[in-house]
Amino acid sequence: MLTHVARGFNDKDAGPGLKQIALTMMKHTDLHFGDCKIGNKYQMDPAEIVEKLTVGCQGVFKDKESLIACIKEPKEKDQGISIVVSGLFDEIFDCCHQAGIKPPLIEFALGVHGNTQKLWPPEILDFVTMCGHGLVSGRLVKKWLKTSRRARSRWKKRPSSWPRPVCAGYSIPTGQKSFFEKWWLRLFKRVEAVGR
Amino acid sequence: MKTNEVTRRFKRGSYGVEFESKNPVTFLFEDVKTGRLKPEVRKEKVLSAITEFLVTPGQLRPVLQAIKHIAPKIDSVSSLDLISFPEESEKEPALKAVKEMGFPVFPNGKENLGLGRILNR
Repeated sequence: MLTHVARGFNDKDAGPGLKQIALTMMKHTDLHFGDCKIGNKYQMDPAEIVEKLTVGCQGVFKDKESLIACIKEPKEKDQGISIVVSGLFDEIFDCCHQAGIKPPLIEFALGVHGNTQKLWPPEILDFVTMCGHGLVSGRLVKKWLKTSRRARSRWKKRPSSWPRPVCAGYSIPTGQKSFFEKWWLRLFKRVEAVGR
Repeated sequence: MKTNEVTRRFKRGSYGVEFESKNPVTFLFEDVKTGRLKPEVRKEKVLSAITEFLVTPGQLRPVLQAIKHIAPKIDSVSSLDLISFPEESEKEPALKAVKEMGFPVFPNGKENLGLGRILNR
């Protein structure tokens, strides 16, 4: 879930409204929270992020119930700042219906095109695409996996350090931990084979 | 798209195929009708960039065809998105065209909840 002001329309003195929405997000999720300009909860105290908000913030939810509860509050309080929810359409439409919201605009994903040979292998892509602006380095993922090999027991600590490079707060720690538990040995072997 | 209920940049009705004037990449165009970049930025590298353009329903297929033609020639990777109003009468013809042109439609996307409004005085 992302909230964002529209410059020139509702950005003036938006801090209090954004703060209210951010506190609502934090009340309904402890997964991940942050802002692309200020930082995320793995980089700084969430309370500090909330106080410094000026344009928007983002949060990640682990189930529909918490998302529904979260989007009901801004609707009822009518803070007047835009909110966008990303996810599976069926699920989001259902959440909106239960919250009494009719989305006026939707955006469909129509795939990846061009020289797709340049993409990282799927196992690394799973991580780097957690940021849609390409700010998670595939080389960092690769380096981190190689480091993990040298101290296998340290990999359990890596999930908590991993979200730091993703300033916006969109990466999903729960998902990353499950990736590690299921895939980490296979990932490392695959990275070695890539040899980039 | 994220704040469209406030800005109304994307409206129902007809527009030519035109680049979104308030998009940061549009500011780098020498010619906004063709999308030709300014000479001083043509050799610059970027981590990511988003171009937005408005099309009428009737222009959708030719635009998709052009994208299908040019995408393989670009030495980079791009994602394609389609923004639409949610009513069946709006999105279904667009999605039908997209699928008939061979583009995948993924089950995930974004939804603007329509909660924004003009607050500045």
